[in-house]
Amino acid sequence: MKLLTEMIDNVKTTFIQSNKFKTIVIKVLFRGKNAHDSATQRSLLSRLLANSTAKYPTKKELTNKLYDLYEASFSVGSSPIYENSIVSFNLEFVNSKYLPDKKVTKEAFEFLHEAIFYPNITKNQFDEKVFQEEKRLLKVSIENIYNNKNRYALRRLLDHMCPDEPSSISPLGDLEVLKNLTSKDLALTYQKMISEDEVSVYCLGDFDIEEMKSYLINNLKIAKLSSKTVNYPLHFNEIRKNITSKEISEEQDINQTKLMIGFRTNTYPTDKLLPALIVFNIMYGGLYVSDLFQVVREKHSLAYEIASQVISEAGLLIVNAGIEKSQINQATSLIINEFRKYQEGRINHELFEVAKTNLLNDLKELEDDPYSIINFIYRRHLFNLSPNVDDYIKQIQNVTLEDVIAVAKNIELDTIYTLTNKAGEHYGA
Amino acid sequence: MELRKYDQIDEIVYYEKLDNGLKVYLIPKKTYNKTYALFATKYGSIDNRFVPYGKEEYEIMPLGIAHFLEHKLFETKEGIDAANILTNLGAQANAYTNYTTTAYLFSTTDKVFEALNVLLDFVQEPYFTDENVAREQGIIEQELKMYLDIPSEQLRLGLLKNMFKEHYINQDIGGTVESIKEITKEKLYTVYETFYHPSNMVLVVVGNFDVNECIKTIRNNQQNKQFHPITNIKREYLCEDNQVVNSYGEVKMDILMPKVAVGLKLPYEGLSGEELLKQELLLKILLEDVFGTTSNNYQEMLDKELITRSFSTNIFVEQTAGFLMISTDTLKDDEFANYVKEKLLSLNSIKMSKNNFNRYKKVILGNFIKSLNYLEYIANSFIYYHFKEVDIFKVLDIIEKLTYNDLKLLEKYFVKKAISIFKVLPKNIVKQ
Repeated sequence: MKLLTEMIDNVKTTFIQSNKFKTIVIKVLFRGKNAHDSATQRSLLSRLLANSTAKYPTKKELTNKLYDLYEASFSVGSSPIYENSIVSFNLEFVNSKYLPDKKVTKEAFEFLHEAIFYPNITKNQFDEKVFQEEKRLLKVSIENIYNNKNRYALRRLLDHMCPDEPSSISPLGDLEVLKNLTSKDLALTYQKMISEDEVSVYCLGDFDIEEMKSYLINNLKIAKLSSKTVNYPLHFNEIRKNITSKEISEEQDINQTKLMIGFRTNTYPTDKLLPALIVFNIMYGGLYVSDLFQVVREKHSLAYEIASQVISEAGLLIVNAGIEKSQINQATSLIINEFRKYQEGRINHELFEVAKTNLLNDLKELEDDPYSIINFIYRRHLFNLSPNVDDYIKQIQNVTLEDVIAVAKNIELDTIYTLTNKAGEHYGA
Repeated sequence: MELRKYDQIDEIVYYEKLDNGLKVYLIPKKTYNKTYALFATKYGSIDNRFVPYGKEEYEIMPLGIAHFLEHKLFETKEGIDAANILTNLGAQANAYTNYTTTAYLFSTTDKVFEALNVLLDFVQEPYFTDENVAREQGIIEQELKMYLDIPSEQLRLGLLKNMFKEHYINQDIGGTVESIKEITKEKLYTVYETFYHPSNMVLVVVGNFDVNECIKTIRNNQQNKQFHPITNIKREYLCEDNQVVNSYGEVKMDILMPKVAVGLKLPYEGLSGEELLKQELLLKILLEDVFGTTSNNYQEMLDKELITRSFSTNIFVEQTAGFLMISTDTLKDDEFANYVKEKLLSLNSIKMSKNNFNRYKKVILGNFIKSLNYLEYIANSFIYYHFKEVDIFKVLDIIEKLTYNDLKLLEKYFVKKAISIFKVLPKNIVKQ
């Protein structure tokens, strides 16, 4: 795999050459502000852009165009990184090496140009019919978080734990904000994104760089993209210590209780100890051999699902488990006990080595998936860290047991959230 | 080893059938970092009625036993979880059970052959005790309860129960909280002896490894093990015609918006191999034309607010049972169901344009090539097609050979008695 980043017409462009994939992937990313209102606006905007353009106004026409490109995949998504909202245009098409039709690459770039620069806007507003349709569909998607009990419980934990932080902003959007949005508002959101966001372009696949450049310049017309840079904070940066932890419980008519425990890590993406936090998380709840899985699931048979995850830019460590209501206290104390062991320096040395080996394996496997590669490199670019996987691998290898203890000592329990079934009611099989 | 080359898509496969009957397929990919290995038996949740090895009479097993066995095989004689042994080697282990297959797998970027030995050993060395069976019941009970709270799972299961009378496809793959309590170590051994013979299994390794070393490792591993002689496994399926059991059903859950599924049951016709695959591909093309995002119907359903982004069409085609499922979240549940039903019934006379037919063929082709980027896809589809007696890399040929006139074959399926509707409705009506 070869990596080259350069400015093309003032736009930061990265070429990732790899001969292992049968497709070419192009990603154009717009970095703007993630806030209560803008998250909803950009969520709706990405849906409008993904499903309609001036030339292909309906989903039908747009999909037909993609079908003609041998079922090219096209999507537009918005996702947050702390105070940043990233809207990304993704296009993947079969490398013309494998096709009878060699014009696919050029046409794919022309399509992307169309999708980015010619949305379905006339007289400063999105086509009203398309707008109302996407608004309705987004509303349903937001409401349906309620149906996915894990996802719902996680959102509720964040609502209670960090109500004033960007981490609690739902990436899908907020119903109250959505309600008042008009097709004019969204045209403004689009204009703002095109003119004010920081843009990066990534091309991955088996190609000749000069040829790719010519497509970018002549067919994508990269010069039309903004050359601005932005500087919104990329991570939470406060130290939260001596927290009085809180417990919150809510009810639904469900069979299984969802337990979510939120911790503050006090360690952030650019910190020297971040790799140690990642190792800690794997040891604690990221693998079969992890403490949580072994103790809560295998030893005590309390759960099927149990895991921990780190949201590094938010400074959060979250444990989730699906358990019986009558076993909430037992499960919670087991989960917290396992965590305390790290703070007390009681660490399983073998598990430490295994966690590192598995992380290294994950990082190497990442290079076998085109989207994972681009996402990894983009994140590293944002945080101004080396984009080479090998450099990150070295950092993981250099993590010591002392680092893991130090990182655990910085972690504080914050909120215990449970979503349980209503008292006295029994459902199910 | 036999070398098979597929020049059009730039793929090669090495094949060998070992003396004990195990079929081994090696797909080297030098440009990838990882290796993905999949060890699978042709045995899934619907294989619940069979003649156990060494016996004469048919027996029926508790629902969910294939999935239970999948969990339990990971436990080794030493009381160590095999997934942990693989994890300790840096490999990631997993397993899954579906209607027709149970598969064990790992992916790794290092120590491939050590991991391969662990995989072959834990799957081929069962160790069940009363105590470890009881412990697993607690874990699986939580797994089943998790599914009870997932509305899409309940929608699918409800529809299947509506459509099928006695074929085991109408049961949850994991069984029920009650049925798993009937599982004993003796029953697990019975199932194991019957279905885990190497001749009923296949091993696929795809990724970055040395082919000669790999086959040597596998041969050595298998030579040291004793298996009973190869026998023919007798299984019975209660195959059905396309008459549904109930044309309507519903269940209530704590959700906000109704979920509706319209199902079309396919009659058992004894299709297999390429014929069965052809049927599946043609149905895919047909549903794309009728309900795909490029269809007028899709736009009409959006305009009438009958569907949301959750709208999906699914095709399930196996040798012993098959069905189509068209579902969505919607506030207009009856209107949606009637609309889909009417469109399905109109397919007793198919009016697709030739142009569309050719376009959808192209789509399926492009989609297939895109998927070959992923080793997981290659290995899992390999098994999927293999158990259907189709060579995965020949799927391209089969797609290309489809003709417009083949569509006629489908018209007979679209009849009223084959259609069923199932809804998951909110417990409390929420104000809109």
